[in-house]
Amino acid sequence: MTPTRAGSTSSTKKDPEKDQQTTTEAGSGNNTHNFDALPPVPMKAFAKLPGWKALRSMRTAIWLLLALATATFIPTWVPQRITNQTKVQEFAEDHPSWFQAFDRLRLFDVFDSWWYVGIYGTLLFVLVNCLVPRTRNFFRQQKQAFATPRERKQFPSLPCHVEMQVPLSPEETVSLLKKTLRSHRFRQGNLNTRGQWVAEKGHLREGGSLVFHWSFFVLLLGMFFTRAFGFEGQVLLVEGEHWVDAPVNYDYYNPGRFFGPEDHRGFEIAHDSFEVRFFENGGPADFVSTVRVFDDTNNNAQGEKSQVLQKEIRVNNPLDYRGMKFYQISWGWAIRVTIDDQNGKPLFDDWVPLFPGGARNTWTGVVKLPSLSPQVGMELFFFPDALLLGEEEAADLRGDFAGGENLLIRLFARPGPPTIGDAVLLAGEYAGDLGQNTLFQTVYDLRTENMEGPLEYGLARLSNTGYRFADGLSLHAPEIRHYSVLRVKRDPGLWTVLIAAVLLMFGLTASLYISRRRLWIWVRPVEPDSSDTNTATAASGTDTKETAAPRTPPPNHNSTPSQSGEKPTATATESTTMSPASPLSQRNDVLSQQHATEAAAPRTPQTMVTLGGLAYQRKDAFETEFTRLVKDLQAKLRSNQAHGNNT
Amino acid sequence: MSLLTFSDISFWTAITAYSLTVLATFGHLAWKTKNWQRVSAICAGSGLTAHLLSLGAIALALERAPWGSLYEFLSAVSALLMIVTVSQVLPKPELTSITGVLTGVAVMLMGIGALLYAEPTDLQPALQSGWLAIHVFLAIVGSGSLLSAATVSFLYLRRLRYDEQTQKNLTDRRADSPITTATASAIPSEAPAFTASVPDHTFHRSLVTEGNASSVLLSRSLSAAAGKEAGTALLEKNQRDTIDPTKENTDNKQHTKEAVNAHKTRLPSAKRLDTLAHRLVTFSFPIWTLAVLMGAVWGEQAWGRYWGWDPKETMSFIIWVLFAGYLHARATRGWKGKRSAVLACWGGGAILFNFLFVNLVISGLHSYSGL
Repeated sequence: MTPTRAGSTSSTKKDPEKDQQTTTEAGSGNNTHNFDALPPVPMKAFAKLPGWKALRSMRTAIWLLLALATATFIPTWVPQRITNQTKVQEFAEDHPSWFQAFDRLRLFDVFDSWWYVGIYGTLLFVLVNCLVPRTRNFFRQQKQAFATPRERKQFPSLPCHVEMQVPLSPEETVSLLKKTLRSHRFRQGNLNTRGQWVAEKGHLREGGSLVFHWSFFVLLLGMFFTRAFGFEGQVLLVEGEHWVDAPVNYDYYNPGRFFGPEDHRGFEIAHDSFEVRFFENGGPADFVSTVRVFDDTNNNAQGEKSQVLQKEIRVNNPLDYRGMKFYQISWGWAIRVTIDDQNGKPLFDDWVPLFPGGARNTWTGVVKLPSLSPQVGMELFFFPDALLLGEEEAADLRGDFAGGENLLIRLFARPGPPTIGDAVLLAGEYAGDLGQNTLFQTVYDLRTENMEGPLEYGLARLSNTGYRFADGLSLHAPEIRHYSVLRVKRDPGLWTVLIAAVLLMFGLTASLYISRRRLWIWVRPVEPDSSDTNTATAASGTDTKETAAPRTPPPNHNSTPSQSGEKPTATATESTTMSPASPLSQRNDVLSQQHATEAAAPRTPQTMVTLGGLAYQRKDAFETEFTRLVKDLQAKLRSNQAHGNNT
Repeated sequence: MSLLTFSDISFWTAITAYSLTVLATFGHLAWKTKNWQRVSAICAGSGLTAHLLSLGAIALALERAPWGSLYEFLSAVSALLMIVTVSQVLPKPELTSITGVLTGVAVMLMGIGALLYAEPTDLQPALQSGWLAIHVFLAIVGSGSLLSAATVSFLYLRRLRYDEQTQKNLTDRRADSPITTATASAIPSEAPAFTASVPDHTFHRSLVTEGNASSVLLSRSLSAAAGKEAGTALLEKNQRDTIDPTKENTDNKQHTKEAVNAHKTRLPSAKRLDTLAHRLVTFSFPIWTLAVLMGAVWGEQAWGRYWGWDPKETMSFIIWVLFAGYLHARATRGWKGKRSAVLACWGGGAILFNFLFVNLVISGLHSYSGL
């Protein structure tokens, strides 16, 4: 009977009038948030500023959520730089005036724009504003005793309540009840002088909600780590190529603010082979890059690297080496193109990556020769397995044969998987200004605004059959290989984000599925004459409300130790009064009848136990839980009595 | 007969059965006979069986999860919608009337799926992962039940509007006719027809949720006594507690008129619909969250980033935010009821937009429609 928790003083010191208020408020069951009315936190000076209240109200938060959803919807209609740079470029060229206005509003980088950051920043601010006091209250509630005990007349207003007479002394009953409730994992408050206390369960609901909301900050922290200390890039590796991890070797390079060149590991990757398999219907089944990694493992001689591992990188199965991850993104053909001038002096000899063209099984690429004057650019069309139609057949397809385009028309890609068969390379020659310094372009496109052409189409076959253009340039395509595109990434915040996601999920589940339940217990000695009234109420059942509660405060059971001497030794008896709301009522009638027939011994109930329960959520489920609890309690009481009899 | 042919046949059987369900529910609404209800239940059950067989056949034939293309995905979502309907709505007498609407949404989705039919084939490399089963399954369960919640919220709004109109009519009428107090004898004893806002069988529960615990106690005790007086007392109580203004109207003719009008909607009570929608969101919101998170994990593995504002990711985020807003709104004064239901409807619209527009029109990393 000693208080199980410290800090009881604060609850007993409370103003009784206020306690009363709290109880009725909890009893109405409408309040979802004020689980306990704790003494108000003193207001800070800034909290008195106008508008401060709005910044912690749920209504503001809902409006902000709506604003967030609306703002997030914009990228569905406006192309974004982060996902589709080319589309943004197209937009800029198609509607230059609109582009200016849109760009000023940052509509092409919505997620980095000041207004988007403003929306979620404000939302987070409101969140913190709500969360800080809630968290503080949550922890205070863990320390403090909970709600105030109820008056007797308040018990029947609870959806579940039960009243029992127990032939045990109040002390024994209290300890038994406390034990049982503990085994049902109820947190229990302190026993007051009148033999009342409160038990609670389901604090994890509020806890889960807090974890859920705080986890967003952990998530953002992880994302911030990645943006600050991470790095992202892309490499295109032709089969057989060796690649060293250094900033210049990336095709696309986007380091975080605090990621410097010295953070690169400097290891080497050899792309040994690439393999792509197809389904019968022509769809890709699998693509795999086999790579070897060389690294300076033992810090031996300068620049001396040894092979550390060999790995097949495939989709869904990246290479992870020293915090750098390599993902298989895409693949294609790279063709080795050699161009010699009229004197046979090599002008160009390199691997040209080709990208899927418009038509099926057609690949396109670009060769630029800026050293010539006028500058020369070539548009490449590659057919891995081509069919060259006769002139007549092609003529049937299209009437006019203008310039070199007839070759394009006459070339047909054979359907089926893009494997190398009768491979043909077609090059369209342009001359003029490549515009490398004036026009927006990547190494993979040719801007022909300031160029003339196509002057001539040249056709080369893989089997070293070259083509000599009219201006003396000769084109050869001696070899073809696969290339593989790998995304390279270092993401130091990944684990933080993962932890945040796990917390978020647990918090959300707890906050939605756990319900808060509270029990009010009142144990007191039976008054000599009141036992009759109670048995009477058990029979009528409906009059519970009318049965007057003893107006005078019941005597403190601590002061009646003499009663334990009168403990019945013969039989176990109990009479139970159930509220009609409880589904137990019938069963209890049976129970008590059973006892009555089993034991004809005189009933000497000593202790009256009143137990009331309330669930703040999932009320239906609570009814069964309450029934189970009462059943367990009765079983414990009975076994306790039996035990008492034997000894 | 190949398994895929069998799958197609089952799919069309399911569509037919669901359409019959819709017709039968309307028959039930029109004539209120038990047989119509039985027919609709049988049709819904057999349709769902055929539907699940159809999905199972794809899984068996191709040895993968049956949600590889948009057609299969929509089929799976409508199957989930029907599972919700058959398990949560059909068996509850007070909710049966909305079976038709939910089934209608499922039929609509399946119809769109059939228009976008793509022969089930093997998966492209990015989809060849164990995550397909997890992520897409969660997305199906999440979006299917969120969509049903949105539908229920929409019905809730209809019901609310109807109630408001009835109330308005009544107050108008009351201004004309003199008012006297109700006598219990004037009211039919079972299911007071005019109490449109709170049908009898939901009475206890609705009061419990309102927190009016003491009156529940009383009414329960009375019904336990099962005396005739108790019955009338209950009705009196009922009258006192329901917001329906007819309780003050004694004109018998007007009662019958009212009863006829009230039965025109035959929707469950607003309270019941609101509770159902909230339960469905509570169930599906964590699932949707998990689907998005699992998608992020998969994205990290397959594409090398967990979040990249791909159109599908963007839309999932919007849906998430809207339903998060719904959950918050439902616990906020001034947003409870109507406004939160509007939010849920917007969420449902976002889900449909995500299914159709984002999949078909916008190209992104999630473009797996098979078209």
